[in-house]
Amino acid sequence: MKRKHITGALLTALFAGSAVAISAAAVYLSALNSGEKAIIESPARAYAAALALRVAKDASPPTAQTALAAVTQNAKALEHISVVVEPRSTKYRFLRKRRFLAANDAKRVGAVLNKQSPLDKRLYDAASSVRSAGKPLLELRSPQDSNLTVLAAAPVMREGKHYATAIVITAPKAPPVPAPAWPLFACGLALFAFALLAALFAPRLRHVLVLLGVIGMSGFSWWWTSGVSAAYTANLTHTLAGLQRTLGTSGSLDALSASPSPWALIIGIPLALVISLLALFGVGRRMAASMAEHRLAYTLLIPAGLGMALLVLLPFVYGLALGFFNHQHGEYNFVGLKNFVEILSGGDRPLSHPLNFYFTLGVTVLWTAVNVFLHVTIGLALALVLKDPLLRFKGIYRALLILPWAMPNYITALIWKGMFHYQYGAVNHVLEIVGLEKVSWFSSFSTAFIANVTTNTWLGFPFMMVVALGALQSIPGDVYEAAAVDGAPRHKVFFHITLPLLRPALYPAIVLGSIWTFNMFNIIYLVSAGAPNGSSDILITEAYRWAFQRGDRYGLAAAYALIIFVVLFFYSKIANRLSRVSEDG
Amino acid sequence: MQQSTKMNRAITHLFLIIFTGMTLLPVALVLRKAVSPGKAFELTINPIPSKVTSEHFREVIGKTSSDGKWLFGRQLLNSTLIALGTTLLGVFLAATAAYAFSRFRFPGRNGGMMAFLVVQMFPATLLMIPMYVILSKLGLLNSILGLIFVYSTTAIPFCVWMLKGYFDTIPKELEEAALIDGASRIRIFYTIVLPLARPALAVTALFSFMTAWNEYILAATFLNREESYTLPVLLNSYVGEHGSANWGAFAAGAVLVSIPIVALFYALQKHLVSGLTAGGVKG
Amino acid sequence: MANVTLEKVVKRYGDNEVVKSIDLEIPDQELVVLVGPSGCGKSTTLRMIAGLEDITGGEIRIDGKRVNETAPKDRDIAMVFQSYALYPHMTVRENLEFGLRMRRAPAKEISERVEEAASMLSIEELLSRRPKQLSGGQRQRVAMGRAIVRRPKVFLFDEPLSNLDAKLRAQMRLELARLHARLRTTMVYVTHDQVEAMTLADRIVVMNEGVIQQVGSPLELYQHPTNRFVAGFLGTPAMNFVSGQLSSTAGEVSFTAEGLQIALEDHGSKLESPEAKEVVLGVRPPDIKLSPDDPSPTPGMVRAKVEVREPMGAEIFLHLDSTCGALVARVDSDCDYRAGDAVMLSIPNRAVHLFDAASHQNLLF
Repeated sequence: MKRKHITGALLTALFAGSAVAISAAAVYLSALNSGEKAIIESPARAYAAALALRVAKDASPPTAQTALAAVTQNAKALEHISVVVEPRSTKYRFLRKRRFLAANDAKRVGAVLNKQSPLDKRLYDAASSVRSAGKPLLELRSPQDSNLTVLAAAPVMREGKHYATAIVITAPKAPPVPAPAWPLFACGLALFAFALLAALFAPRLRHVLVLLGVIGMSGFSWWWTSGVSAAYTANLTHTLAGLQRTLGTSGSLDALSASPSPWALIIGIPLALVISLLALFGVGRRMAASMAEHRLAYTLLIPAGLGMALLVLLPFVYGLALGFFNHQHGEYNFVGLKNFVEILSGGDRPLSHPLNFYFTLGVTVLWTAVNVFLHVTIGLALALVLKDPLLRFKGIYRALLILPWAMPNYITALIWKGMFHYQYGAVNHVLEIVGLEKVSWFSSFSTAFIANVTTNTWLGFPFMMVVALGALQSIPGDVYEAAAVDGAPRHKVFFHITLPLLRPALYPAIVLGSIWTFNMFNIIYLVSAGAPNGSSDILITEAYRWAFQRGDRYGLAAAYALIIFVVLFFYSKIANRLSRVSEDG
Repeated sequence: MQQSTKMNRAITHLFLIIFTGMTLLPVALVLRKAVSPGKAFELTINPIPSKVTSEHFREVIGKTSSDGKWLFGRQLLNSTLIALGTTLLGVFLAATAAYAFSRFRFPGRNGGMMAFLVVQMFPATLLMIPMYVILSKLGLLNSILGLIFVYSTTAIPFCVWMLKGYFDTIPKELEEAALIDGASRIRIFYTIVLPLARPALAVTALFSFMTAWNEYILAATFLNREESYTLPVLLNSYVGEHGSANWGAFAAGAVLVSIPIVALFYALQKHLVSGLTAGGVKG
Repeated sequence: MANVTLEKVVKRYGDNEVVKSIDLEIPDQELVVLVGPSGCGKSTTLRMIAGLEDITGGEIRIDGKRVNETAPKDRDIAMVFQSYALYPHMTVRENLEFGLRMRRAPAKEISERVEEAASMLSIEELLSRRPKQLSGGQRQRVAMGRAIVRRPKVFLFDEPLSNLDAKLRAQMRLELARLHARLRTTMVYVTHDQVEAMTLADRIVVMNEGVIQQVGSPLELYQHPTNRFVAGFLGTPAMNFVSGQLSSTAGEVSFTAEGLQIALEDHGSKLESPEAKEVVLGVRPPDIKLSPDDPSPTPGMVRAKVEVREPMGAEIFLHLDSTCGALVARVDSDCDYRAGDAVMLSIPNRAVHLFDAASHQNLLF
């Protein structure tokens, strides 16, 4: 009895402590984050702005180089700084070659940007963005070696026209944390002790006391964190003032604010309250009891659970959240349901437009249905033929027929892409032998679709064949004997005996197969690559293109992913219900 | 009667031979290309090469980086380590979780299994961005370990469902008998359950290995240095977007990459039917 | 060597009470059989003793020590399962050794004990085989051997013979009885087969719906069932039941049913309340007396028609249709009544069991 009491008190205290830890950590980290971000980014912007201003006065390469030298004089952190001049010819696109007007490596002045080099590509992209947007650009990136780099670019205007772009890339170091975190932890510990004591010595009042403690601690952490913000802001003002002196620019540089995001408060404090409430209603004790009871089960689940949580669930949640944001040049803006509206409204494109969501959805559904139908039919047919115990060489046939399953599927996809090549492809060769016209497979939707389906059918039937073979083996022979005695003709045996008995095994395989096919990225991406004009794209490749090939629209891609998820979720629910109904019936 | 059965047989074999031939043709063409000279695909369906050369194999295997390191060896080693690591870790993670789901009734069991099933429906390709962020925070970009983690966790749901289905078919009495015999739970898991689940474990291992060995997109995203590439990334570079396609080298590479995985697949294929039908597919 | 005590043992799955407060004392060295129809809680009780099921309420003691919280491996018991539960991937020898290995017995002792158990069960030549290569009877022996090598305080058997065919089952039953005579270890045996219960048990525990109906030696239970359930459960063919009234006229207590009246003068003293009440009369098939058809029967005789004749060899079961319902009689093999014959049946006064129609309790007990 006594022991139970203590455990209960301990748990309540633990919950209260962790609740505060979460809210405090959320607020503290967000302050830290925005503070660091501000300090890291603002100077880069200042450099870019100053450089643009100076170059604009006189745009000959020597003066640009001097301006550059003046700006970089005191800046050790600058990794790369350059002015990229815009091409003069706008008439012929191929003549537009971006050149270095000035660079901190003087040898490169006048050289053309080399798009194969990652750094130059970044400069090129930045210049393009600034030109098309007509305003400064700021980009945060943590590339390969996970070192943070900041890219700031500002337009260089001459006589009211966009003339060049000043680009600064720095690899700044994060400033030291101005306010340590340990007082927060200490207070968390104190609260833990307080809750423990309250629970032990004032069991009746403990709920109220713990709640008061949680609220008090949240307040304290907020206050402490505002100190962090203030310190960062002071630091920032100082840095920028120093910079202004060095660069000789007048007017105020737009400093980023260093206050913690309101989201930390909006999410952190209710979360803390919910956790404490759970603790108050004894959920913690019950959870602990069941955890103790099923210790082994939970222990066994920990490794997989951790891995899944970190690398599947967390990205999953991140993906869900991303769907409500818009991403542009490294900045995320909350846009609510705008992404979904854009997708579901078809994005102002006619229904027959390949980028219209409903068009793509239609293609995806058709793609899934045709593939699964072909997989099942071919797989089942082959299984029925190979089932015959008297058939010779059936082991050899079986072994050869599952080869496509064993082959890596990106290789398969690329092989088939080659086979459908207009000029050299084996498929067109066969058509010629038969006396037909060569087909340009990827220039119309229907032929591209056929090419994709052919590839995926080749790839997918062995799985269904193996499943069907396994299921056929499990049908007892006497059922067929009974049917034979009853004199049932072969097709009736198939439709009335084999098929119904196969259903329990085939059904899940079909559901699983359709989910896989629905999301079959490799084939579409590698074989038709969406040609022509993205019409043969399915939802997942469409989403991929939005994310990585059409202006980094991560938010829109995430919204696509969410829609795919919802479609599949309901599909599997319905399929599940159907299978249950058919099994009952 | 006799005659018609014979006819039927002959028709069946004819059908099977034609179908098998069609199935094998693409593979045969790749083999042909791998040993025929020239970079382009040829207009033919004749799988017999007219001229045999080993130039493509030499090109692929002998490839070196700009500073003279032997690339193919590095990439082969990467692929092998990643695939083996994924297999070991994936089977371990899946087997423990599947055993818990199969044998214990605990709060959260149904929710957990549902979660394992549902996350499969979220397009993995699009988990890439957040995965990239997480891996970079953990400092696991460009590393073998990072890819092992990613592959083994993304393979977990399917493997867990398949293994759970198989574990369900192992009689509970065996474990009870062992329990009374004095074995601990963990001991039972290792000495009784795992040996009995060998077919399903083999299939799980095979799938984990295939996932890791064959995967291209994630590898291409998370690896940026040539010497940390896996073989699929190397292969794609021969026919990738930039530059002209070198189908000869691609074909030779494809053959090299496929041989181990196809061999493994055939070595374990006798378990496919039992492992699959008792397991995941019955869900 | 140990006795097993169950005190107010309860097992609940959610709201479903499977075992309802059982009290049972299993003395040292006895073979006690738990018997009852499927779902009566007998297996659950056994599994609670083994430690494979948690005990919801009450206490189980082995050798005087409370074992509610003790892990199965620390209870010093051995169990034989219905499905044998032999480890399929181990040879017979490995199967036998497994328990001892887990307990880290010295290698020499392990091999000695295995040899001993193998010779006791004559499975020496099977030691290197795997369970798959054994017949049902051999597997059964190995399963028992696995229990024997452990030399536990208590043996638990969960319907060990139900997967065998009738002949093998009889043979194994005998061997089990021999084994018990030899080992003299406490054994708890669960079965739904009353023949096994009757032949093997020192004591039988009859269970129904989670409640112990009666505990006693086989003969006690056969002759003096406390209630209708026990009476009907033990004995083949099962006891005949006839519904009727108990009435007393002028101090004479008698049972009346459609066309049947039996005076119960011998039992009069046991029947406390001689007022008229609804009862069920029970009579075992061998106790029914038959005589040739008689147009003017003496009182107490009932006319019946033979519906089916089942010759069993040494005896014959006659299924009769009479005015007081369908009855089964067991007669000697020389009896020549055929299907369709009319016979007169009578029920001897002293062979009668009387059960309260409402409470099913034996009124003559």
